[in-house]
Amino acid sequence: MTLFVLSVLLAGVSTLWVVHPIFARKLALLADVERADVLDAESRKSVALSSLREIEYDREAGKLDETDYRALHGQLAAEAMQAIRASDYVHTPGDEGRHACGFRNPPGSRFCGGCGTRLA
Amino acid sequence: MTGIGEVALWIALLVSAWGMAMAFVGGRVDRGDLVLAGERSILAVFGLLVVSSGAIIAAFLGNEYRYNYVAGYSNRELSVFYKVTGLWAGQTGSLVFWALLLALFSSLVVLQNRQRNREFMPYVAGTLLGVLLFFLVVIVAASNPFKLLDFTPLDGRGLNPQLQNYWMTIHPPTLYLGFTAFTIPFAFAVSALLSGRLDTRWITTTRRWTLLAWFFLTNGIIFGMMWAYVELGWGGWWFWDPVENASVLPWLTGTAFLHSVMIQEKRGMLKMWNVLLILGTFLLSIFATFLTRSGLIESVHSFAQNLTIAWIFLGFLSFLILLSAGLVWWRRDRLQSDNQLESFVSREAAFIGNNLLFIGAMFAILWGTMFPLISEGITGQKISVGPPFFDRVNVPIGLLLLALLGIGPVIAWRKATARNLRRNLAVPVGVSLTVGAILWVTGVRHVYALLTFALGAFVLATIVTEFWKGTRARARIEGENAALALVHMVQRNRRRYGGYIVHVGLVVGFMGFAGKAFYVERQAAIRPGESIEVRSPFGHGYRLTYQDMSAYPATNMTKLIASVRVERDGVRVGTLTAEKRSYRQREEVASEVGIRRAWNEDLYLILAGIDNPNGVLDGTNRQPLATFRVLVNPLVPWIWAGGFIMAVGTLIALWSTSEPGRRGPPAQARQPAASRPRRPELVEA
Amino acid sequence: MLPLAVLLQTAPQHGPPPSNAVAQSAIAELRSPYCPGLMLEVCPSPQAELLRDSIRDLAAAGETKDEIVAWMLDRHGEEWRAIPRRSGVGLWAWIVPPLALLGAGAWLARRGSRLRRTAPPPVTPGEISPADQARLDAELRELERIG
Repeated sequence: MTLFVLSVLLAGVSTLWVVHPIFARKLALLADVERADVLDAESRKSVALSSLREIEYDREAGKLDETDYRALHGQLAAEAMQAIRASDYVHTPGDEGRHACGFRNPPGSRFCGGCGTRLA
Repeated sequence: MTGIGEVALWIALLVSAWGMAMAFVGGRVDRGDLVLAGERSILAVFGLLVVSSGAIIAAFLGNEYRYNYVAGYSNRELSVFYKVTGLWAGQTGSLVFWALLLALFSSLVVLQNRQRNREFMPYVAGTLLGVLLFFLVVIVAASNPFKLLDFTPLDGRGLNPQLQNYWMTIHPPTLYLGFTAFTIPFAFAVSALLSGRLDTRWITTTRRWTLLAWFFLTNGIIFGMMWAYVELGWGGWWFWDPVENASVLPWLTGTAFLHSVMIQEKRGMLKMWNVLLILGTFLLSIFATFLTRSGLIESVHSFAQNLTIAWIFLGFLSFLILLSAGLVWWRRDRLQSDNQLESFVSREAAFIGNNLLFIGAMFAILWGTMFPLISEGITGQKISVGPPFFDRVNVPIGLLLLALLGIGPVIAWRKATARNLRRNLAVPVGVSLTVGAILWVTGVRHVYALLTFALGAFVLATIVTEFWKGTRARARIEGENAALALVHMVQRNRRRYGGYIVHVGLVVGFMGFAGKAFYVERQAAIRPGESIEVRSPFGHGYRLTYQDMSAYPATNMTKLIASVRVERDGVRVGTLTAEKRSYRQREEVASEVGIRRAWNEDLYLILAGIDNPNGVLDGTNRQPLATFRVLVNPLVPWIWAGGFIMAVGTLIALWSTSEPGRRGPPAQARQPAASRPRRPELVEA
Repeated sequence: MLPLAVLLQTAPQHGPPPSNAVAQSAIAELRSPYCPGLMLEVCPSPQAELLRDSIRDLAAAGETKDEIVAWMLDRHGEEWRAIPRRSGVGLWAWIVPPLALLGAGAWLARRGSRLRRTAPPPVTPGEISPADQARLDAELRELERIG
């Protein structure tokens, strides 16, 4: 008898718990609180900056010689600046409807004219 | 009352089916309420599994032998400790335990991601519930721990004596923690494929889960080795048993994954490869479970053969393979590389080489494990594939890996120049050659052992140089003193330097493996007062003198204990005991070995046989003839030390810096308004 | 490196005598008829020890590993062979893993070099403006600060 009561109780509580959101219209978030483009820009920036810092150490440690260092540094610095601008841009309020890198693409573009990323 | 556990299993089954449907549908049609119902289902399943597992433990503690499972793995004399761990002592209980751990991790993921990764979460929740549903179906359909016996026996059959060991209670849960934790990155990968968000976010957001899974899997495997070493009493720690092999397969692909994701994060390459690796890792962990439980392949580990389970697992495995292949094919366009390989002399290329070797080893082990089945299926002739096969195939791969382990860290990303490489490798190669030469001169002629030590020295030398140069560079760039620079350097690059420490552990472990080349063995039947002599490969000699044999009747067994005096080069260093135990309830005999551990070798004593044991018990055989097997196992302690170092390194890497994008407010938020960014278009114009 | 140095001082003086090594390698290739599922090497049964002793005697009498293995399989049956033969079906067990590894390696090397040929030449960026450089430095310091 106790087993029966307990079983019903367990089933009832479980059902209520997993069905309740639908009746009460309780919603889970469907998108992040932080905007996806902000997150993407931030992560691209941090990767670019870390690479830049790393080659600094690699040169200091003798893994990169001066010519390679210069070439890589120029390339990475350009990438990092692009990422920084994109990150700055997505943090500037009032400019919805642009790609994360900040470039305003004409409607229907398949690739971003600013950074070359494929557009959804 | 413990019957509530079975009810909870059925409710959990229904809830997980419901939740899976809600999560997938909610994600597809953007309905937040359905997604919430799905996520709540995970928490509910966890709660229900806690009830169910609690009921199993209560049944063990309450000696409820009407349950088949409890009767098979416990008896009245079993200590409380082993009654609690009875939850995972046998097949049916261990599947519930597995589901419980998976539900625990899944719940943590739900709680962790209430604000973030929201686009992933519907499909993540759906996938996790799908896996939980599978395990619950297996449990209620084919492996119910609450199955009743036709009658209630007065006492249970007791626990297999070989499982009554500390390592055996901790080895399976650790392994299961590893297997189940790999489900989390798998679920995120499936979700990334379904939602089409195939940038690095699914990888960075599950990085800690992956490391945690690797940590548990690595330790689980090492604990298993320790158990085999002290409990099986064969003097070895690894036997290339099918089930051991099965646990190593996902470890190898998981390790490859840990390395190759770095290329994607840094260079946007290998996107498809990484997805395939994590899908493969999960598939192999399911395969490992299947192999353990199906009884398909002869193994010392197998739970009793259960064909129903074998078929359900095989069906699930095939479904998963088709699903994974279909998803990857569907999204192949979004899995193209952003960048190209710039040079074969680069860190990227070294990582790709590392992946090739890990996958090569995985394939070789899988092939050898399945070969008896394959050959029987095709030719009708069963061919055994024993340990020497795996040694011969894997040792060369292991040595190549060691070499790469030393070269990898000194190659720069993108493109390294040969001149720089030569300069950076000069010292380590010198150290390696010196070590090899010294060992040669001292008389080591075993080729593989020589190579292991020489390459090991090479790797250690590069890692020490790496730490030294990094510290020096940092001290110079940041103007810090050496100690501070070292601490900061590790703190700022925990994954990298933690990884190097893991490499050190691996090298120490490999050297321990190589010690097997020098083991020494003696076996003799002697009477009390007589001795056996063995010579250690390190040069000293041991004399073991058999002193006496005593009998101890304990509650559930009778122990016969031989005590042996140990002298090293004529100096007494202690006493070893080795036992034979005969368990009354199960009519089984087990040996307990005596091990004298030093920093560089183990003296390992096995009591292999006793003449007329009944005479010892009733006192008529006062001078019993006993057969002893004595082994000197060089460098075995290094294996355990290596494992410990690897664990420490993983913890350092795990204590990771925060994910990108979660670093608090961006820099320019603190800047004055005047320096607000210009629009990029203006910059371009 | 210190433990290694200590090890070196006490490193093995002599390898195992040759006949012992032959016996060891023969034992390693056999399964035990006396312990189900176990290798002869680790089988604790007294009969297994007798068998190991006979193998050691044969090795001491100068027989080769293959002769000893053949002798044992003649007496006890082919099913106790622990590793596949290097002929017939057994050969497949040996050659597939190395071939797979070599094949995959060759494929990767070809693919890598094709990718490299088609790779666009690396961009040669212009000089970075002083303002940008200052911003980069500030960002790097920030990265350093928050780790």
